[in-house]
Amino acid sequence: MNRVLSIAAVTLRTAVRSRIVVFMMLLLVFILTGLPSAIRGDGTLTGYVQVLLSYTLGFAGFILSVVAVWTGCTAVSSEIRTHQMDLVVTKPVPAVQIWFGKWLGILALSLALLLFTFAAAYGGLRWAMIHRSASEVDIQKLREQVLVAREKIAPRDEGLEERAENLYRLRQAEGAVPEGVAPSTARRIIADDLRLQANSVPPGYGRRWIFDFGSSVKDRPLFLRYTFSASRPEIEGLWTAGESGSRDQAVRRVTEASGGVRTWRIPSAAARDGSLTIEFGNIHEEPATVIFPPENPPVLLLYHDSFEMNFLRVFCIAFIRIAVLAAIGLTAGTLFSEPVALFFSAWMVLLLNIGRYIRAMAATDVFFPVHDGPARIPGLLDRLLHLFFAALDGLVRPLQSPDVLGAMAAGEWVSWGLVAAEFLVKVLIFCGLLAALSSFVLKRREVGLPA
Amino acid sequence: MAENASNPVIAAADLKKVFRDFWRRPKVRAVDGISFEVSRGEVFGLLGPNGSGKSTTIKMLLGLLFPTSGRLRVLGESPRHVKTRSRVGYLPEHSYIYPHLTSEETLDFYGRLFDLSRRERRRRMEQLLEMIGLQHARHRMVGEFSKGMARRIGLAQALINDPDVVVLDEPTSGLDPIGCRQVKDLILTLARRGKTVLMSSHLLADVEDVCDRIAILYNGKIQAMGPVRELLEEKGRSRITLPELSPEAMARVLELLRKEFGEEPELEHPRRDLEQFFLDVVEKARRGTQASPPKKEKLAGYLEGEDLLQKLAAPSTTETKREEPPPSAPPPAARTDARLSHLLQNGPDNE
Amino acid sequence: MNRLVNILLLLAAVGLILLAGARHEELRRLKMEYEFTLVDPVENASPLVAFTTVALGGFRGLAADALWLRATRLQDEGRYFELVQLSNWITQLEPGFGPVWAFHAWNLAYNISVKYSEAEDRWRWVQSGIQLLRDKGLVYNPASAELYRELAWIFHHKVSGVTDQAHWFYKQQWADEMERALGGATPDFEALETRADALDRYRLEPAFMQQVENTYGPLDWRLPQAHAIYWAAKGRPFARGFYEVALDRIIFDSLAEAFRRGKLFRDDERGVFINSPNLDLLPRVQAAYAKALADYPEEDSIRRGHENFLREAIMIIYSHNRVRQARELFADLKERYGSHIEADTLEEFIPAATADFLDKRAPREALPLIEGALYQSALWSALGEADLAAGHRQLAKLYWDHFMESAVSEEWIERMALPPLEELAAKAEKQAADYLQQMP
Repeated sequence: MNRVLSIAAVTLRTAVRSRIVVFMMLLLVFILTGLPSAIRGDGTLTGYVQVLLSYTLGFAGFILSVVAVWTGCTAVSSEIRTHQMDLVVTKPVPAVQIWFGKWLGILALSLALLLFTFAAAYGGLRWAMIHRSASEVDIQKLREQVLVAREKIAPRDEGLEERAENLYRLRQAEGAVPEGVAPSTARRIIADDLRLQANSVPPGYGRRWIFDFGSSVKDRPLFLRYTFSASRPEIEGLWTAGESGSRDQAVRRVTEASGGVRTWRIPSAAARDGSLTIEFGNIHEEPATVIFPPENPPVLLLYHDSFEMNFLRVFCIAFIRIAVLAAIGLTAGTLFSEPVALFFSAWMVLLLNIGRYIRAMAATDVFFPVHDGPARIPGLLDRLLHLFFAALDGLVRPLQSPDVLGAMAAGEWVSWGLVAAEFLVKVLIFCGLLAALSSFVLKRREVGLPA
Repeated sequence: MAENASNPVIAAADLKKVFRDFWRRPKVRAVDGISFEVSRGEVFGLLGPNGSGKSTTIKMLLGLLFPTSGRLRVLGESPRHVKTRSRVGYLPEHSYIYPHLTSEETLDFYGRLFDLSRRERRRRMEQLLEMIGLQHARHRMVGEFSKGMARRIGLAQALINDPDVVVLDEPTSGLDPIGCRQVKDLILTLARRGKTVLMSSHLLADVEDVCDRIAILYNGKIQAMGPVRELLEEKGRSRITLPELSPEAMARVLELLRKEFGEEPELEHPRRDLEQFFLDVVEKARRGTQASPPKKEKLAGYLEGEDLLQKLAAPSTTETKREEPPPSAPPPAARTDARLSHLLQNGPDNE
Repeated sequence: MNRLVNILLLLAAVGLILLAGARHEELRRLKMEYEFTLVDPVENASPLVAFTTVALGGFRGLAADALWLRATRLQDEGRYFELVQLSNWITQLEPGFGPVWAFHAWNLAYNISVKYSEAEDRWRWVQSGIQLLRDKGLVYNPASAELYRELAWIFHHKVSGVTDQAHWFYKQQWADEMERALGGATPDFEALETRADALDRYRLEPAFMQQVENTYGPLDWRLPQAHAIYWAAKGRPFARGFYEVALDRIIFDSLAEAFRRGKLFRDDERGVFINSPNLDLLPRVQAAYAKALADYPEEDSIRRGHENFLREAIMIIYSHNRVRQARELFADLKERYGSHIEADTLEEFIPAATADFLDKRAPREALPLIEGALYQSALWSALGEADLAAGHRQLAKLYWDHFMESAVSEEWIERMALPPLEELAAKAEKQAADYLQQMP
């Protein structure tokens, strides 16, 4: 441990002396002090705080990522280039200890910078709350919808899958499933159809969702977030929440545009016994069907714990991500020479950031469709590309993670479970694998090769 | 660990090193089948012009490069073995020390890599700084050092672990004559303390002064190897050194020699070598400017084996096997004395 | 020696930079002349924007695309709070590219505003759209007719029009702001010159306001129509082709709208805030239409617009009890669009137009219409506007008569239970009195 710590200390000192790192640190300070006065929210305190949080932390996170990757890449490769490494590997230090020492050194630097960043962002937030004028409504909205950690509750499962399966069997028995249609396709079509039916609300009809949350709501308001589309630009609807006929039932009549994402604040009294029934009635005069997109059903947002706890958890996840980037840089620096390592890790970081596109590519069968013609059967090239992207997706997906900054800025709960999962997958498993790979390579690398 | 007095500390057999390019095509045959052995307490020199394979050989000895073929053992083990490294000290050809650490921090850092306790590191650091004469620069960044100072601190870090094998790549390069002399004396002292020293140099005088045996490398091959004395001895010729004689006495001696050998002996006054003369002059000048007498160059205490008794009291696996000289070993005498006694010990009289 | 060389090199560098700078304008001119760039170089850019656009070079398009993708995604996800910021950045990355400004301003003012239920929220987004064009876009592109048209359009259509369910709130807010900034309906423009700072926020120039007032006035500057005209007039000199018609159309449409509701009654004490027609504008509207008809003889839509305007204007004038003026207008209508007009006299035209108007409505709307007219009449009377009161009373009678004439049977009338006009008038008077009483 003594060795690891001493290597970490020297790595930290080397990093602090790097011009790039110093430049990045100055940039960080510049952003953290300058950005709050430069950003434009949507004109409300709530909007400002949301932009402040996601921008300062987002930008700072980007800079810290660059610092972590850069110091990681250079920590080993530049010492090999300058032969400083000669004097380390000729001492009785196992390669894995060198790797961990370097990693810890970068983490120490990152931790210090991250602490500074989060402290500055929190300070900026408090400052804004004191010094920016805002209406009572706005401040209440801020406290209830941003500066909290709210759990997202999805509506109760309505057994659609089961109904779809039953229906499929029935259709099959009736011989209604055309020949040549794969069972999976037929099932999917039936299920999609059912889902769409269940979520379409014709004029004069209603739709009901039940939300189970099992815990008390602690006298905090609940928030229903929903979106719908309709054939008219604006729709008149009636929302109710809670026991019908009860004094505590919340009712709201709305005229709302199709397509937007909306939030309804429901008093806590409406919720009882750990569940809440919500209904939407389509009371539009002219015939217009309202569709709640099945893939994006209404969700209920429920107070879980404080913003500060959420902030802490997001901090942990941010740190974990930086640790991963540092490990990637360090491994690249162990495997390759400095410029190659930088190039390689830049690619790795890019791959991690375009996970969504890779997933989309992995789901593609035909990459070069024939225009204005019948659908093409995938050829060899398509299969190869599909295989390539599927493999890439498999590689990258475990390292993907939800947008916690966005979630925090939207007042959504980031759970300790997520923190633990990130730690397990990214730090223990992924960084562990990188450490093993790196020390394997470092042990077998001829450090003394002439440059 | 296969190590006892009779086994060589360093053994290389048919060692080859071929550098390859990106496409794995052989580019340079840097070391081409060399074999040598170095015994305990020996000072072994690798000589050769630039690019002859000295540094490559040394780097292989340290596990920084891997032999393409051949067998290489240091202290009976592969040089890449972590345990071997704890008993080896290495001074590289150039200063590869972190420039932003101070002298103290440098020694502390490398000390920690050997897992020395804080107290031990402190003690050795003090002694080493005194030995290399850098106490005044203990808080200065190594990056600001002159080449000579950097060399000294490099030497100090090579000795921080009290190594059994010291590998010195061009130990005297960049040093002034005084520094050179000090380093050479240090090497001799180390050897006397039972340490094995392998050094490379292209400064022939240095090698001649300190090495017991040398190997001359050229083009990756050993062209000549053996004890320095043997290699340099002119067989069939002798030299007698006498005090200044009166003309009569001289005439008698010459006459006697003429009669004995039948040929005319050469007569000349012996000359001091330039190094010795330079050192004397500087020493004299220093006496004139300094009130206090100069410190004697002194080996770091722990290298002297001053803690041997301690070590014997609490034997550990490695230390018990070491055959340290007795703790009562005489302190290093003045330089000339040291050389003299060295010569007496290894000189022709004893052969 | 070395120093001398250094100094010489430094001088050479400075000289070359100066030379390059001197050639810059000429190169720029040539670039423009041969149309080497899609977009004109940006004028008036702030140092940061100038630096970013130059530093990013060709990559700034890429950066703008990336931000744009993010904006689209956030918009889909309903996370609107970032969009003002993103729109600002995207547009400033392509500061000289008009359509980008137009799109983002329109997106903010139209697409996002309607996603909100509260009028305050909607107004904020409409303002964001206005600000993006007015405070940024037009600063970088002071000669872009396109951007003037977009800005004028938001005032003309979004704020002044009635398509948005919160349009009433927009009008009130805008009137409040303008009242504070200008001090009244028709400000003293010369006095405004001395405190132009107050108008800087709105980028209004008193001198140009004066010019607009002289050409199209009297305008109530608290109303959005005046501002639609202001910005359209400001952009008019830069307009070519499509934008000439587009800007002119905004001008006469806004003028017509100002005629319809261009008079603002504001009683802060009682909180009354009512629009009514600004009859003084009639000659201006007529003149604007006459000019437009002359300028664009082939534009059929202008003729149709004019005809509709005349029909509406006759009714409005008539409801103000200005029968002589109404008669003149009718004569004009008959002369220009006689083929479409069956009525020969105003006396024939009014009931026909009323019938036309009422027939388009469901029978159950009749009662509210009559009540509405009577209520307005009572209200105007209480506010001292005798002409208006009389006009509305006349309208109510027209509606009542039409309804009774079109009645299909006695039974039907009984079922619809339409009370006598007098009874309804008394009720309306009481309501109006109550309303005024309630005001603090």
